[in-house]
Amino acid sequence: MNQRTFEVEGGGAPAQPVLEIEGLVVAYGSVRAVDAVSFRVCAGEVVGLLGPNGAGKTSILSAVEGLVAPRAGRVAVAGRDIRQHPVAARAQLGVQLQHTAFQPDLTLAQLIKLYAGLQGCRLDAAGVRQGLNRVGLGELASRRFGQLSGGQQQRLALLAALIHEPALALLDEPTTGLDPQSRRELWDRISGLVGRGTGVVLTTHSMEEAAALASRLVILHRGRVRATGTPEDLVAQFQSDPGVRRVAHGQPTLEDVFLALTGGAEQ
Amino acid sequence: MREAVGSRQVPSAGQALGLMASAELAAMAHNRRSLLWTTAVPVAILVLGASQLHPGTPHRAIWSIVALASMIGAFVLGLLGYATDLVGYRERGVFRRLRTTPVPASLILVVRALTALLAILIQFLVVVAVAAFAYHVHPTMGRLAGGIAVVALGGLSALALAQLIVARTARAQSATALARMALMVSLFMTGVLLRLSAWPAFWRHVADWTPVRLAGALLGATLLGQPWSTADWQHAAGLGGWILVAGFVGVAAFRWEGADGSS
Repeated sequence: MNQRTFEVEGGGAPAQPVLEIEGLVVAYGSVRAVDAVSFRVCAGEVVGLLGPNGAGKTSILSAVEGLVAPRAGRVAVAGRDIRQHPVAARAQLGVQLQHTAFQPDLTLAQLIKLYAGLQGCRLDAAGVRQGLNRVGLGELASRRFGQLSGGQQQRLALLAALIHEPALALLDEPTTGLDPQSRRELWDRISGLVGRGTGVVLTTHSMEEAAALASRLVILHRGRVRATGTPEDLVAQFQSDPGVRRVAHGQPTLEDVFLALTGGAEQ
Repeated sequence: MREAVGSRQVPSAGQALGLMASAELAAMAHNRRSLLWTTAVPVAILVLGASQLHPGTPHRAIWSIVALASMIGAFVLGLLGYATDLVGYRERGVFRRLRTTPVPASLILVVRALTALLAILIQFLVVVAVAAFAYHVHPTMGRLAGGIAVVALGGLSALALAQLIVARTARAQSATALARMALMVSLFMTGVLLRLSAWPAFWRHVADWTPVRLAGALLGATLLGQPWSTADWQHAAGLGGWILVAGFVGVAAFRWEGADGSS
């Protein structure tokens, strides 16, 4: 199944951008973590951010989430500028952070009720249970977050990010630590969400995941965009590149392109 | 005006406060065993203190012990509970996650302070109940209401100091160490560990102006039903000063992000 082709329900009209990033600069002191990055994400589209550690992926997400103030550039979520209208912009977001973070003493049911409520989505006990069942955690509804395994915590974090059906989901390495079954289930959930019109920004170190999920990729290196395009386009575009030929074992793959563009082949 | 997102509506500050408070109270209920142990501290101080009194000692001595024990309990809860929990939230990334929602994350500080204050008040009522049951001292409703107000003031001073610790530490481990140190200093200043009469006059004077002593003295006077003297009003002003200064610095220096970027 090609999971990258999604039809937005009730589609026909051109998809609206749910994220617009223009000339984004994020700096920590004198270090530019993100340097003049621009891209957009439309409703019903998955954009994968690829890059080695320190490439600026999480900094871009932090700027969209409003957690760091950009030094320059513009970020708008569903048409709302994150600096001018932070509440309106955040109301459109669903966020899964790289390091899952919830109150350890609350049960899963309490956490889902709380975070759905903070996004304006009032859930009764049945709604909470239904949500937990969807990610296979229904049986653990009364267990505390601190008692879950890493994979279970990831699934809960994803549910908390998506339960209010946001316009834009930011998923920072969502499958890290998941077993293959859970990873596939999560891919299916993301596909379902995208089919209902949510735009997704996904960071990952897995080329398999990027190729399976993303309709477009943005390859970052040292805070700058090195290349953008569909996985197939990127391979076709760079397959004759000497750097790619050097690292490829046979037919060039997306991973070969990634390694060549991000300097991984030299290390 | 609140933001509407499709069929959803961003919760008002009051609604968000209610949601967070309900979650924090649930977390407190999960940890009721630790709350019970914390409440045992002032009860034990009361029982130990009262056991050293001669039979027939006037009730005022019992009330003084109730006041001191309650304020020590408030500082145990405020310093250890509030400070370490908040730094733990920052370290785990709970703050960061809350800040990605459309509601102001600062509400979590308000909610944590309110729940800690509630625990402090419950603890005080338990100590008064034990004193009434075991030592037959019964406050009038007026004195009890005044006592609750003073305990709230004392509790606020403990929370203001705790906020200062939260602002100055990046990790839960260092916050716990600093909170324990502040608690030991507070205990020392109450004279529980070393009788104040054995101290040099200067240090006795310093001890008199520490938050725990100020609050204890005020609470004692209130529970005895005495009209506040000039000295009591000075103590109240001193306590208010501690709350304002420590609270202001603690909030102004507060950082959502830890030293390593955790938040």
